[in-house]
Amino acid sequence: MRDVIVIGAGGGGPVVAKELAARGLDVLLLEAGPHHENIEQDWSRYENDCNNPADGYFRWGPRDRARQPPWFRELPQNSFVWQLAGVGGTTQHYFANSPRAMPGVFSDYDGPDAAAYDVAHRFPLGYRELIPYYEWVEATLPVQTAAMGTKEAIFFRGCEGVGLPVNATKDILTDSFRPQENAILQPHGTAGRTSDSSQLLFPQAQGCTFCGYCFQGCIEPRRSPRNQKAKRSTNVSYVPMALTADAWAPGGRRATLIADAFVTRILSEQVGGRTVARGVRWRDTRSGETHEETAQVVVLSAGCTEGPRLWLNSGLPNPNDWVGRGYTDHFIDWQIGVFDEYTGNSKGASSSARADFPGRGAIEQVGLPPALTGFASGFSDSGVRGLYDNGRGPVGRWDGKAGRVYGAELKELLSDIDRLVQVLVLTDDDVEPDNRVVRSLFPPDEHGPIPRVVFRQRQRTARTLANREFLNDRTAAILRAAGARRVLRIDFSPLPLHVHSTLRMGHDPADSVLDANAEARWVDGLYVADNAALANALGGPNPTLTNQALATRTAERIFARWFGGEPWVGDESPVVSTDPRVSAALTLV
Amino acid sequence: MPDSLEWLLEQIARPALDLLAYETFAGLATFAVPGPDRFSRAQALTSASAGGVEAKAPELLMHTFDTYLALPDSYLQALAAAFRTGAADLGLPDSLLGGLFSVLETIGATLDDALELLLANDASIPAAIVCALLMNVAATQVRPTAVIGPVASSPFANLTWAEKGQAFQRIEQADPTLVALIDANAPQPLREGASGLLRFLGNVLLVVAPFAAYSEFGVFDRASRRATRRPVGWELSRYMPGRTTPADGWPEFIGYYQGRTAVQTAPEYAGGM
Repeated sequence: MRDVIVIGAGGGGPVVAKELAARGLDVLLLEAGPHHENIEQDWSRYENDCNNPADGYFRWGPRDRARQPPWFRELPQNSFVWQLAGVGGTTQHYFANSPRAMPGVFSDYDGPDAAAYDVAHRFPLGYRELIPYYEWVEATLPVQTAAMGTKEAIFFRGCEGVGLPVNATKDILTDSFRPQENAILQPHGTAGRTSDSSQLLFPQAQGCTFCGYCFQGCIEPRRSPRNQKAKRSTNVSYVPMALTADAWAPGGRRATLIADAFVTRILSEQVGGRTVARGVRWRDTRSGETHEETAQVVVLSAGCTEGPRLWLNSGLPNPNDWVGRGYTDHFIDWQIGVFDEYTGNSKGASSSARADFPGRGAIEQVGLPPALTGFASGFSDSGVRGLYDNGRGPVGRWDGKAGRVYGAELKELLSDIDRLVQVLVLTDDDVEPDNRVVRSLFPPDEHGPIPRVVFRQRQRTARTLANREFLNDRTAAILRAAGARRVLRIDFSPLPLHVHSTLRMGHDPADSVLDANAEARWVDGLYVADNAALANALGGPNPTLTNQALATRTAERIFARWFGGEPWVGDESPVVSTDPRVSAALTLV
Repeated sequence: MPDSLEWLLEQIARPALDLLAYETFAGLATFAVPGPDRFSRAQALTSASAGGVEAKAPELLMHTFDTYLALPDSYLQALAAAFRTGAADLGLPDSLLGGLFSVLETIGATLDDALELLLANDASIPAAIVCALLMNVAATQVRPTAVIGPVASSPFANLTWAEKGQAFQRIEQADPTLVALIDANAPQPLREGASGLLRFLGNVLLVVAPFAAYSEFGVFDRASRRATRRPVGWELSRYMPGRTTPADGWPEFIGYYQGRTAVQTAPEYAGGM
């Protein structure tokens, strides 16, 4: 019997695994997808080879992308859920943006704008309580202030132009802009100073080399130890720490990682009228064999879509019917500014600049290579510009109606990738019960009934709809102030890149699945440690850092309740994930 | 179709439908990114520089949808039956009708006959063919005469650029006539979700097309996992001029905003709890 089994090696699960392995517990970490251990060889960084949803190396599917199809999920509306299998989960392709949440979404907030947030679904804990956990994670990854390239300088010029103040802290206090706080090692040595590959080898180059491939997987600088790659996806930070815990933590014990292990059931039993988690059953996606292990504690970190699916497929209690409900996604949108000057859009970290608007959401500058810019230009709920608008096609400070950019206009738009500045709009969206994951009526796959992800795109709350329009207005104003010749708004269909709250923690047992410790209300010994556990959409900031801070707190709660341990955050100093002891021990794993 | 000739039709049924799929996806690729090719000419919107067809976007789109839409065979067959009119009134491709197969032309065999035969034989129907049939059904609703045009196997590819928008408007808005086709043919889960399925397919077809056109696929060697020359999309977008491989870095670092390399917790929140 294990002490703890963690289901899913994405953004949150490896945090719990690393923290509890460091306490000496016997931890098993299971991941449905492959473990890319030789990323310099495995990740070509060509866009289709990587990002094609059918057979890219970053897809939602089993290891053998040449012979095995991806795992199909039902989306009964115009939408696309960008899931990603493999150790690191979606942090493999994330931009590593690591802002803290808006203080206004927590229970202790009493600022003058307290009513501006999703007040019905606040976190059942205070922002101040989470700060030590933020600081712990920020030191572990580590999170650093992002350097500037040309595209960031242009974005900042626009923010200055509309009179926004700069935020020089880690916390979001008022409408403001700033460089991103990114989980990216910043450039040192030759990094960011040359395009000569022979000059960009570790240790001559350290940190971000400005290659522009965050979304295709970070392999830079080449020849660095795996835990010293620039972007701090969990596959190069928390997972290596978990696997080497005995090397850097006094009393630590190496966690066990099993990849290609798709969990199909959380095992439970009835004890004294309560349901108690006892272990998991998984299927080896290569051999098809089924395995089971038991544990004292099970931690569900399978993501906002797969977590509810697994819960429901396991027959676990759902008395208030909130398992899978409350899916928040930042109701994201996209704008593209066309400039008459060089912008460096395709170079550098994918997002290193942002502006935050408490009670409204956030916006961030995003740089992408051409195929993904084509994707972003074509992903709309408003038809094709100039042809039809599906009853939407909002107008505003941007040029013409929002909608897909297609045909001759797309060719013109993409005639120089490095004269664009692109902006992602992150709406502070409300938790809504009808945006949800249910089990599909389509035939089950080899792992059981598949999920159906439902978004009522156009029926969101008035606050959510207004926030998205406000942010789009600000975005266009900033792009214009920066000097954009043209500004195009796409009006995205649901594209849940930021996903939250489908197994939410909350004050109210009537509309939450987890208590304030992230433990399931109706299943003893079952915790959730990923974005699904978040109480809400954080007010708009990118969720991974908060997920990881909360997962650190959850690890402490598990250790205290089930293993008689004491909390450590605040009393100890964190070890940074780039620690050379981790590098050295990795060669032996 | 005389029973005695079914074996002959069976030989070319699948290649004929593959051609239908290719020509339809070429019509989609040029809708997204026009070029100087015959499909762009057919939509009356061309471009002097290479476009989606030259980038081999149709091939990538077919491969992607065949793989990505991992629906059970029975569902794909049901959808193919629902959208069967997308192959109605289309002749078998001339390129397949030489020699012995000429008799099929003589008796007036059509693409619809080919599809009917495959469905009757319970053959698996690739998802790309299903998607192509859907686009062609919508196309014939927009302009019934599109069955005749410079692209023999695809009414959709014969539409003008603006008419293609009308076809996709019908798909994206789940036109009741398309919903009715699914309702009349498909098993329960597909029937219940007919409008959602159409909206999903409309969006995903439209978004993968420009991705495909601007990707490296057309010149990518899967064995070496490198581009053998400059991808069309890279040339069109002036992406990394001169390169065929992703760069390891760029001299793009210009400093830190206001020289600040680190920030801390705000004084309001310093000290935690």
